[in-house]
Amino acid sequence: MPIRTLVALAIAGLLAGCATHFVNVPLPDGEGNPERRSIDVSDKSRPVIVVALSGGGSRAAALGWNVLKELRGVKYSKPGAERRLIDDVAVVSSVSGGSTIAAFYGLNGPDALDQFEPFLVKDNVKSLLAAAANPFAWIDHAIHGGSRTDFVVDMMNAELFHGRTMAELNQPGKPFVILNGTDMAGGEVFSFRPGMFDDICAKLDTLPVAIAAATSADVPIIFAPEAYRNYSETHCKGRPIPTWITNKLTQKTGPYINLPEYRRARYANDLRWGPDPFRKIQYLYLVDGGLADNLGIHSVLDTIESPHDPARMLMHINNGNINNLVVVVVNARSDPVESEYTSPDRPGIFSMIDSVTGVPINSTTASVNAQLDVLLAQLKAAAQIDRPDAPFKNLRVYGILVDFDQLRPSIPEQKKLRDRAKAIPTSWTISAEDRAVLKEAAEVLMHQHPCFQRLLLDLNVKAPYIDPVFAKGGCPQP
Amino acid sequence: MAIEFLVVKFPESRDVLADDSPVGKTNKTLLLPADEYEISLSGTGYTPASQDVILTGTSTQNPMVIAFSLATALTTGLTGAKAKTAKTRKAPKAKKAKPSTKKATTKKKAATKKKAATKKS
Repeated sequence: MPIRTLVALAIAGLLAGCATHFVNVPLPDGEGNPERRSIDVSDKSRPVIVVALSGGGSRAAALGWNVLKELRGVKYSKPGAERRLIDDVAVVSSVSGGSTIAAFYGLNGPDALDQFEPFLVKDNVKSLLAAAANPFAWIDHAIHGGSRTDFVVDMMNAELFHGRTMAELNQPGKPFVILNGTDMAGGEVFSFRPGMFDDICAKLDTLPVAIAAATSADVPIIFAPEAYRNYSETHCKGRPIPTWITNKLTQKTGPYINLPEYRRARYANDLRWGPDPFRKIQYLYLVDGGLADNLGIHSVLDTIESPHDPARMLMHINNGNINNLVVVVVNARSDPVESEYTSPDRPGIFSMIDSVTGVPINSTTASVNAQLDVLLAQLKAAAQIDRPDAPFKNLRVYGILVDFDQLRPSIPEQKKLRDRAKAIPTSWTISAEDRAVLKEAAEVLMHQHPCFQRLLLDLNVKAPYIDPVFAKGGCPQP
Repeated sequence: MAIEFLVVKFPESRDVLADDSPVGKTNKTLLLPADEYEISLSGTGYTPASQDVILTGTSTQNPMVIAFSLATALTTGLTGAKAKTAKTRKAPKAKKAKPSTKKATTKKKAATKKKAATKKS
């Protein structure tokens, strides 16, 4: 290796001990982070669609992309206009790989979805390795207190976001796009939303989307956690603590009836340096959102059932402004057929690391998914209410989980499709063959889901794959 | 979290606030996650100022029901009732001759009514 390269690497190594660079800036005095989006309930006969996109690198990005295109492909008639289901998407919550397509969709809209494809075609891993092989890039990052995660930020900026900021995601008329990370110290979900950035007294509008998306996809160990400063310690002094936080922390029975909400309030209070904190949080080190919840469902639950969520969906349901609630959860979980089950050799350390991280993630994800199932079932049951004073009476709820396990093994083509889809590795590069597998999987999974068919039936959409008996039996409605 | 049912009764249609966040309207059955809430209304002129409710164990058949009242009905109390009565009595009094003591009482009630009206505004 040339001497110059060695010297450069040595300098990079020394400079790696320099101060950490925090990617966020404080809010100016007296300011908050505005929430400019709202759910359009001007026509209650239109469905309100909530989408959750899972982690899984480019596999998840491709599956999510194809599901969004499926929604774009469905047109239904309204008096005076024709609408697409994609136009009714009100909320997109995402983690990790799903955050790339979520953010792209939020910035560019449904008509630009096809422009996402080049990101999937490109060998992004090759680009990352090439960037990482440049010692001067390391020096540059080290001088500025950065880390190897900056290579992912640079890649996302170059391929997808081009320096655009979170302000562009947060505009009137746009869906709530919620990119989720994990607070690695406490294990909390950290969502890139105005409210959460108010909690840390940091400006969200100016944060580059590439940083938020890269944080959401920041696989620990391979990449370094992204560093955020909690400016509540030194700024935003004297601002009042929101009522819901104070109440949850002081109400006597709250922790016994709704412990998760108590913990959420405590976390928000800690971030705000509120009275009597559990922890003093000065710095946040955020990693892949998939660690806390690999489906992004926590934010979906919040938007639907939380009284203080800015989407105000619960209020709209209670006011009878939402007649059709559609929740689409896209799970791109990999689960190869070939594994340790067929190996006579004791698994090595890398397999064990994979298990120690993967198994708890899958377990937590399944648990949160079950919570969503329960919520949707309760809403459906509530809609059966026989009281004239209930505006949510006759609310229709369509829960559409897209999961490779729903491909039917009794049909040989679908069994093959399932096994191929589940074997696609988690990476920022995906082959043309695997992209084709995911395109087909998205189409089959959406078309044969009873609640998707039922939704189309109820919107009077004609499609050859709709089986009314199957749809009504598999997705009963009031 | 379990979904519970709450009805907040009030003579007028107002926003119902749970921990200061709007969740629906008065006199309607509302869905809320099980929890303890401080329930209040939008605007003013109601009493009590808020109510602490422990929302759990309800059902579609048996929601929790709480009620607020118009503040004016309570704060004016007897004075308000007398004022109304005075209004009713005043017309007949004009037609009929009344003993002097009653006239004086009626004038006093009218003055009280005027005072109450001023307070209200």
